Amino acid sequence: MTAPIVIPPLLIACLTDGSYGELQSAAEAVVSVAQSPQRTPAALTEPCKRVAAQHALLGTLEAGGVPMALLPALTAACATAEDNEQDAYSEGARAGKGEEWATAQERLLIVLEQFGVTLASIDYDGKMADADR
Amino acid sequence: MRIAVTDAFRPLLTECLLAALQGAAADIQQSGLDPENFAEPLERFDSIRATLDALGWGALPSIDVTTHRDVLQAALLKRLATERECMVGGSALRTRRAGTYAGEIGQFLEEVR
Repeated sequence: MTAPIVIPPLLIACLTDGSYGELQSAAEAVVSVAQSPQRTPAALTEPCKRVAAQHALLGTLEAGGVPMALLPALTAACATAEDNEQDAYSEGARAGKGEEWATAQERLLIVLEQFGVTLASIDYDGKMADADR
Repeated sequence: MRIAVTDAFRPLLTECLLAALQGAAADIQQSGLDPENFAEPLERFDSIRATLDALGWGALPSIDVTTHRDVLQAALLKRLATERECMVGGSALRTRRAGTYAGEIGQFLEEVR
């Protein structure tokens, strides 16, 4: 059995926020497809799977370890977390809030360096890109 | 206990479930920033999705009502209320169609109970 992905404690909160953001985005996609003439099971499958995956991810994030099967969901949550931290970083800098700025910067760097770079090279099926093997 | 879903009724049943799924997704979307707000619509969404899976998203001719009774009843009762509203004051065609749908839904609900 593959070991779970260990989440640094500093990142749990921001990845959880990212997961909720991705969850809402997936739910929005479900509503959008369900309201369209293309409301076929095939069209609804993908956003429904995204909702289910984020639901499962939220259940594991708090424990600090994410199973490899949830890597695509973690990648999506990570991307949203990165956006969130970029916003917080910019906002903190603009407002002159040194502490918030520093925390956002620290999180952003960890997201980018520890997760962003690694996870960005993994496609939605959880396979490493050839160049990164 | 499995019950049959006729070819004629399956599209309407699937529509009812899709509307319920859409409602749950809209509630997730509008859950704001408080994590506690997500729990109920998420559970509801997963239950409806499981029921749609069990129905093959409209492709299977039967469903296990023991497992999916609550979801089926909720989705059908909501649509039944809508159809009953449409039976009053709409065009003759809409009123007739609403009466037909309400009858079909009511009949299936009897089997689900």
